[in-house]
Amino acid sequence: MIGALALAVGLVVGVVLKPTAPSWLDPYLPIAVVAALDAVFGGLRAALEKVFDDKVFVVSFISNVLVAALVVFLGDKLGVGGQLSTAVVVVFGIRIFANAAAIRRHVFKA
Amino acid sequence: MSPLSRSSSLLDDLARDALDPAYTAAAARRAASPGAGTAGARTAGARTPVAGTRRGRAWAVWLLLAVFGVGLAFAVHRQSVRAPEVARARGALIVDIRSRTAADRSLATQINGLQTDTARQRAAALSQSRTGADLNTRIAGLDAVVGGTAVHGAGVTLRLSDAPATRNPTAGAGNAPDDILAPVAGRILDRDVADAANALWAAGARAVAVGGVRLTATTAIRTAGDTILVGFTPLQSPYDLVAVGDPDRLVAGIADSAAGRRLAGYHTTSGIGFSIARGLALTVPAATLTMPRLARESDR
Repeated sequence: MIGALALAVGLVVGVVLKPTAPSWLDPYLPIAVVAALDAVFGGLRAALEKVFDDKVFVVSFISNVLVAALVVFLGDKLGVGGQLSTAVVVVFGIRIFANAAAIRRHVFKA
Repeated sequence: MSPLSRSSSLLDDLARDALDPAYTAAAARRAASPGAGTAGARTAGARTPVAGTRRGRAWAVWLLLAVFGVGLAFAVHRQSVRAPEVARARGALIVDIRSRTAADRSLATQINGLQTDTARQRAAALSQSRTGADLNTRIAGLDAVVGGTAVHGAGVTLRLSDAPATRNPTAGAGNAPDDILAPVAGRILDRDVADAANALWAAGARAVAVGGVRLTATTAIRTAGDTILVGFTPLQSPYDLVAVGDPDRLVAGIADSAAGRRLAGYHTTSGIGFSIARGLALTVPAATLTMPRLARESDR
């Protein structure tokens, strides 16, 4: 699929080019990646269930990343940064697992 | 139907909504109006604007996937770089601590040597007059009590040590340092060391040193974080209290004292180390005394 190819291209570019980002992004990067991962898994499952919609994917991807970063930022300002980011990671983790299980069911019919 | 069966837990909601409901809603909308969806875009030429938008949106999807790939590689790379940096910084700090402690020790030895030298020259200078000789005697007597000279003789070594495996296993491994301050049964506190020292004094010790630091009238035994400080010297378990005096009296005195009984109790219940050993030729080092604050010129 072209989507998988695009992902692979992105990975290769990231590994080869070794881009640098400003250091103030550092605390938000892992959370943003997990949020994006959730959107990607959701999109993959939707594609397998034949309900994929590009607009929904784009919106969910961007909003996931932004909302996750916002929640972490707010938590830092309130002083509960560690706890809120734990909550965000837990929620995304559960969703990723649920989607992965559904994908597994589709792929392996088991 | 009871309310309980209709309400769902947070986890149920999370798992159920894992497939974003927006997907199913969009699919339902497409099915409801078949002309505007994927099936229509391919056949009807009049649908070209919609097809163009669809192609644009497909590119957005691929672009986002590529960005996600870059972000993933980048985040993993950053994380793999950070851990060795932390370990390196810690290693550098440890090397620093060791070298500074060694420098500190050598300076302390130097001070002791200079103090002994000064004392000898002072005694020599004072012995030249009668008032001087009296002062000499007074100084010698006070020094022994105050800690200005080293004391040799028979005595006891009292050893206190933390119970094994009381160190919080997660503390100091990059976790929050608050764990270190949590009370853990079996750790020697500054209070225990101070009580043991006081018990030695009460049992008739002439001079007491803890971890090589002579106890004077103004030496404080206190805690800073995880470490016990005697004077300004940080000490780690095991803590050796060396006392010069009558060994039998000292041993009996410790056993009878309230502190000794309490520490023996901790030894049984919490497993701290508590032992006394007699010694025939113990040395209690001199203290590093502060400068005198009052001086009066002597009449010769």
